[in-house]
Amino acid sequence: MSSVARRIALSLLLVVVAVFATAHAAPPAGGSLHVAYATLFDENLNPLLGPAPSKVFYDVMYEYLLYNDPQTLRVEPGLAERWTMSPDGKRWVFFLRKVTFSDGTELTAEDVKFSLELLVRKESRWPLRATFMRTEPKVVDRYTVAFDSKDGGLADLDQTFSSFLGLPIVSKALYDRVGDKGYEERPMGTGPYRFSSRRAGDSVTFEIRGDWKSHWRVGSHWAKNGAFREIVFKKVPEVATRVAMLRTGQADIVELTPEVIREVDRAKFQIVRSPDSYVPLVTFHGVWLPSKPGYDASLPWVKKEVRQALSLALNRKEIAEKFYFGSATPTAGPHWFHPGTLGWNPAWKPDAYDPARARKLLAEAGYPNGFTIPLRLFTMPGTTELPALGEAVAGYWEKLGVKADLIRTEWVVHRPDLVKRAYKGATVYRGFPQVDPVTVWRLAYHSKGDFGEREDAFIDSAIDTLAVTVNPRERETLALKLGDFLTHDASTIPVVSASYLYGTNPKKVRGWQPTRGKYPDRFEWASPGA
Amino acid sequence: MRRYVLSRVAQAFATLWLLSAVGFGLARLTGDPLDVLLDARATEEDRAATAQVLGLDRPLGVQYAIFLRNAARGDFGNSFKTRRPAISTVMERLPWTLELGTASFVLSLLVAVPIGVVTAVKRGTAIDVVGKVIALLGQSLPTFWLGLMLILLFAVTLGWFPAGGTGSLAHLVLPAITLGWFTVAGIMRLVRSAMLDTLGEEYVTAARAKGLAEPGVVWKHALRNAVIPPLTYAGLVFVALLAGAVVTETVFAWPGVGQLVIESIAFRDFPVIQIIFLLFGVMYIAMSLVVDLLYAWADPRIRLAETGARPR
Repeated sequence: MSSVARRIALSLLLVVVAVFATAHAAPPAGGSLHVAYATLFDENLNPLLGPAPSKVFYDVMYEYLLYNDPQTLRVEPGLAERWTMSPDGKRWVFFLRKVTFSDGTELTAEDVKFSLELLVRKESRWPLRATFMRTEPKVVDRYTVAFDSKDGGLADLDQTFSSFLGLPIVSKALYDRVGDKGYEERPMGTGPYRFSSRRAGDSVTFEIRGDWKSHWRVGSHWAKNGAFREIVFKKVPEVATRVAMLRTGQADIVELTPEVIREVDRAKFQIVRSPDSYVPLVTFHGVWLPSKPGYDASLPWVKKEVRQALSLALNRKEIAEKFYFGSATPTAGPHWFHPGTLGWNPAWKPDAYDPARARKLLAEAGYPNGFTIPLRLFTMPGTTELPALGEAVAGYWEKLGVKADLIRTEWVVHRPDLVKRAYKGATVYRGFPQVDPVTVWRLAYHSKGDFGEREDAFIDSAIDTLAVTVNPRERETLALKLGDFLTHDASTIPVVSASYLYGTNPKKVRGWQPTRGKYPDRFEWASPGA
Repeated sequence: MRRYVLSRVAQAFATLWLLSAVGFGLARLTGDPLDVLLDARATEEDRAATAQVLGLDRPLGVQYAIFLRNAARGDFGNSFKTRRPAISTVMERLPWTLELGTASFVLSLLVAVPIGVVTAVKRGTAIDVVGKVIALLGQSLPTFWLGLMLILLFAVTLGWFPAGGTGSLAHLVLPAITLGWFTVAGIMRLVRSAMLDTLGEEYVTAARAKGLAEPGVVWKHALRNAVIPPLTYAGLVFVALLAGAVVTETVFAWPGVGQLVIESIAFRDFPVIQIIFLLFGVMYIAMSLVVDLLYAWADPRIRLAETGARPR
């Protein structure tokens, strides 16, 4: 073959290879996704220093042993491709998939063990520190890690170790090398994005990993739909500014509040809802075991009839329509019981607005002229409307002659009082769906739990039994019994089922839908618009 | 003049010391940082151990003495929240506040001084009325509302400037106008009032009688003498702009010290609160000192009176 013919053949071959490669290549990673949030919380990137809400941006960088289906909340494999529980429910074993951190080092069981040990350290501010302390991690082999129960059972562990309230896996090798501060400055996880930069009080930026096309979790999704080269989380405290940034193209996804959704809708932007995201509700404090120090039987709200009256006084329909601008619906069920999750009874119906019956119940309970109740109000991430809702609730109660003494405070101040059982009164709080909520039931209702929302010997026994019950049918039966007890007792007063609301620019973003009930997440699944 | 300067510097240090004590005390009124730093189930031993690490286990007087000693060496401790040096936490936010404060201050002067002069010269005319309306609006429009209106008009409707955030000179325009708007009214009224007094002085009449052109009389002779009262006000206003930018920073998502103050109070981050308090205290004191010295420079009667010398 002459040299000319060889050149032509070679050129043709190169063209064929190039065409083939182009046809089968993933869409290139491009563009930046700008996400505007009301807060970046404490801005910490080291799980040791930052509490759970920081996970708004953790999830693109850190990963978890298990994940939840975004709609059904069913537990799905994560860094652990499978897991087992011993028949007595006292040992969980997780089998890890072979993945790498963003620096190319391999994830091993040592990393998982170290991640848990990090969060149970004394200086840890992780909210589930106490839950993690119930377990002892053990390395079985390079890719297998076991968690043994220290205090009975671990039957509720599947949700605790999911991304829902999960355990972010850090690199032990890097942590050993750089320490607490070093890891805070240059954090690293196995997630599809790696930390790029931050500007204090302003933004945190993550860039896509070099090997993004083969990322175990989102690689194939990106190959089909494309990916953003970087994600910038911006702190924009004022909602009107966030909406303006969406309208001017400065932000692609913004956190909304109900009062602006009509404006966003009119401007032809997409409103993404996370239905049944959370339930704002009233909790009572002081309804404890009579043996508890500080128990006071003379508190009006210790009586079930009083709590029922306070529930009947609320016009949930009006609240849903006027306060939440139609983005919520009246709901029923106790705190931490949600449709489709353990313990939910479809027969529960929202209390109808019935002030006459409420007055009658109050009179029967011995309070025909009402009483005064302290009502603590504070905001929680994603639910900044709670104090205003508290004022509305107080307005309805006022019509019964019940005066709510409104106390503006902060969760960080309020929480220690709950743990010490130092607060007797009510709060306006919120609950959100959990696939297996036994951990939060323990926190809320168990006499040894943190929040003391309703204590009773039956509740303690039900929660303790649930924690060691492995059989799903038995768990469901017992959970239903517990839910019915709390509902008929009016232990907490649910108000409405509300949605987290986001505005997105459909020209710039597609395919983004956060997990039901979770404060915004899954940004790694967003793809550039057409 | 030297004696005057020394006496003012001594007063400044005394004020600063007093301010450090007030800042130290006020920070502690925000609550117990252990409630935020530790898990709610922390035992008394856990609390005691953390208190010891943070130096919160000692009597308040001792804590204050240690704070003063370390501050004199430039060590303000670590932020409880970030566990990084508190001074770095503040310093990385300060440039944003300085940038915004300076821009709005310059903008205020550029707008307020000419309007003040012109409304004084054109007293009683339509121009004077317009000036009065500007002053009225400046002092009555809430910053929060004004900021949002500017965003709607200039960012959303006209698309001339970004709605918020940082990154370019264009990002600075709307927050600078919002922050400086209130100040424009104050400075303008002072300039107008001082100019009205000055324009009635005999030396202004004499200048006119000598045949000097009117712009020269107004802008060179009258304004120089009229500038002393606004100068005092403007100096303090500059620091007030820096310290009072919380609302503007919130509306425009500007990552300055104003927002840091709110975050630090919520977190009971004593070291950061103390530094910010001290920092703005130093700025106020330094600015008062500079203004006093400028005042003395501009008006020899002041420095002579302070030093006890007689005018020759």
